[in-house]
Amino acid sequence: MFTPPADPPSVNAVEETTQLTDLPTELLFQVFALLDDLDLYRLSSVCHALHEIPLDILFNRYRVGTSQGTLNLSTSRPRPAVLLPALHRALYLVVSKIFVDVLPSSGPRLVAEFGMLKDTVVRQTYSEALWINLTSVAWANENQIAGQYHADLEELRPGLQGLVDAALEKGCKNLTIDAAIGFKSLYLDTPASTPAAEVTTPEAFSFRLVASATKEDEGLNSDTRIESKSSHPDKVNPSSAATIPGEFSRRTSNLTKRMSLASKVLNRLKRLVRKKEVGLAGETLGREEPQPQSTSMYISPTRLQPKYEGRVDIPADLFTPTWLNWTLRITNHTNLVNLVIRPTRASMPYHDMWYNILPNIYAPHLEHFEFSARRLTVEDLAPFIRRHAETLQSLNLCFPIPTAGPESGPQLATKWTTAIYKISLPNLRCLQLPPHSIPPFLRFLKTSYLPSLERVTIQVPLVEPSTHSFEGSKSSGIEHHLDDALESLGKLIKAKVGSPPIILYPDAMYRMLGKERHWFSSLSLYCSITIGWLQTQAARSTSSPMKQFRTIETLCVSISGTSGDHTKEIFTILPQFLSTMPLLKYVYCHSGAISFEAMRRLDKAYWEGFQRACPKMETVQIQLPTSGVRFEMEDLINGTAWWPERPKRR
Amino acid sequence: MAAPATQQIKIRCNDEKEFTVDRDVLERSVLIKNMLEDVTEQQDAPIPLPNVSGPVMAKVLEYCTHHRGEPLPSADTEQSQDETRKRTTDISEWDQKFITVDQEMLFEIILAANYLDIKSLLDVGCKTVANMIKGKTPEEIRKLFNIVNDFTPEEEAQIKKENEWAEDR
Repeated sequence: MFTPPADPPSVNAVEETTQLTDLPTELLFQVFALLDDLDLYRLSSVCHALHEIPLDILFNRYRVGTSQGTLNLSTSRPRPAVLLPALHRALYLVVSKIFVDVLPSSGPRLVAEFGMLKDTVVRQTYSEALWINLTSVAWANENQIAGQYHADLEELRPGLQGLVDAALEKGCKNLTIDAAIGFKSLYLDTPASTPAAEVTTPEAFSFRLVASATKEDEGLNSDTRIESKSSHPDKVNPSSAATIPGEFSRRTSNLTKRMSLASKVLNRLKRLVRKKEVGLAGETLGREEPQPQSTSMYISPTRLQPKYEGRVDIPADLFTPTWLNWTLRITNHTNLVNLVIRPTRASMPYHDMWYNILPNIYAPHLEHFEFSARRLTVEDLAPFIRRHAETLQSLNLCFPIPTAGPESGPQLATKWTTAIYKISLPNLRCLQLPPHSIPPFLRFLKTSYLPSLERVTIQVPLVEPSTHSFEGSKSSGIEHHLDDALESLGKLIKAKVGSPPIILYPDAMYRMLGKERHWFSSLSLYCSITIGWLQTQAARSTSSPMKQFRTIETLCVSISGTSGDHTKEIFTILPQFLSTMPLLKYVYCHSGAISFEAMRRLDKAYWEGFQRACPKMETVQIQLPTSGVRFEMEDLINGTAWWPERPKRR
Repeated sequence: MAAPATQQIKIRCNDEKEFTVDRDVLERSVLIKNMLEDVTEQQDAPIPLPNVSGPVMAKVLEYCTHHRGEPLPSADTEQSQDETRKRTTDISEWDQKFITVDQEMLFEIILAANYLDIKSLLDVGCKTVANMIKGKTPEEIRKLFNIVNDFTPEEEAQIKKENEWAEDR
């Protein structure tokens, strides 16, 4: 019987050598994963069969974390350029976020690097974010590593421009270019499709970061700036070559500019509201810079205020906490000196983000910190303050604290005492404290080591009549503590050099009545002062002369909430009121309810009376919403004061 | 069922070559280990291994015998080992001597180790190949592995251009 062979002769039996390329892909991956970048690169150019795998490995090696679509070229490797060709040929690459740390190199090479990155971006369907860090290029220049860098700057521009254009074309809404010393100026044209007017305030609604290095190289960076020039053909507007307002001071040597391109977002908004008029509240925070010569970071993500009737839901993906987190994480805070977090009421939906962000920030040179978010968790804030205790010079915690509820003053007091109790802030000079928090802060002041403290500002707003009697029973907890606090503060600060200005809110001043204190040289009455209140105080001061103001030299009165012309009342009351301030030199009135016309009618006798009350009086400054005038006392008395023109009506 | 340590297992390779091996040696292979655990009854029929040839199996068994008794890497440690092992291509002295074979045998051993699921042997094989590639130019790699350059001249030019980036540091 015929029996077929149990097994046909194996194919392997045929003489045939097993080759490297015969190995299955997963094994090749395993083998090649053991190779270095350069080896992988060379390997990819051996033959087609071995081409893709090394590129794949390279890409995975440089991907950030586990998130798909994020590419990080900000490695410490000497030549990320090795990777770029590999990347731009990898067709399967899906990248929507790119970080590029441009390392010192020659101009042509940088241009080519940008070109290859651009190719990478062009292949993508969508580009979310692009971050280009050019700072190390400049540092290298300083260190004479790439001495030819300056000469190559012009060569660099087209490459950079191409890359930026490509990213914008793909819908990139987060564009960041970290420039630095060495960039005399960096011009970037906005895309032709963008109307010029929309480019003027690109960072107005965006997270904005301005940073500068500590290096004081005045010569090189005196005109460091980033400019945005529009090349839109339709609008021939001479002012369209808008300079992105950059308060980059002369000392700025490392310029970090975070630009979120307004035009793109604006276009999206316009689509959303069906081409209704949409404006951007372009209010920049630059005016409020606390220390203008310093490195600053301002965060105010909700500057976007559509100015039209009705309501639009701003796309959530524009300012997500995740995105803010992300941008902050990738940012090097080495040069950060000022940090101002000033969210608006509209930013409430995002307030959680601060808690995410603060733990991620460590700025070794931080000097000024302001946190005025509406809600605060001490647990988050305290570690941040402790972390920067060595360098902090100014601390502004002027967040409002509710008078009742789970986060009210008393509740918060307990938290504060445990969180920043016994802290040492050796360099702290200025401290601004929130209202309704005197007890905890007093404890904080008493137990902390604050040898450099020069100035303390406490905000004590008018106490709501429903919760506290304005006449103030002595047993009222807050007022009692406030009294103690002021006393202690005075003692605490008295020992310091100079007389510290203490800014007090009206009810704090009220609490001071009947006590004698000698440690004020300045009194500021911010908040809503009404004429009625002034009258009360004036009446009080005549019935029982106050001595506690006798050291005051500066008085600021900010009057709001008034309607009509209160000039007469104000100027009638002021002399009586001020009679308790014999050393007063300077009065500053900020009001919308003073008319210069009425003030002008005040005669010589009035001003002489004024001067009798305050013989050292030198200057009265009136600040109206539209204009401000500074009067010398001498001119007022002699009738030689210059009066502003009466504004033409209609 | 308590398997005696001396239990002998028969295997048959694709070229009809049969081996009778101690069970603990064979269990270096996770594939065979699982097979043996699945089969509760003792069977005399040899285990067929259609993807491995006799000479390669002999080599693999040599490795398994030498490393018998060593703990198998568990699934958990595998992950962390992947991390630490990353891009280190050190091979122990014995393994190095063992793996000094011609290229065909090397690749066959890798394939067999992969099929039989012998992690440590696969590692040795991969590291050896990686070491062969390291520091070589594309042309040297082609020569070493007898690979034909199948890029078109245009592609070749493009690659060369990019190669300058890589080479110039």
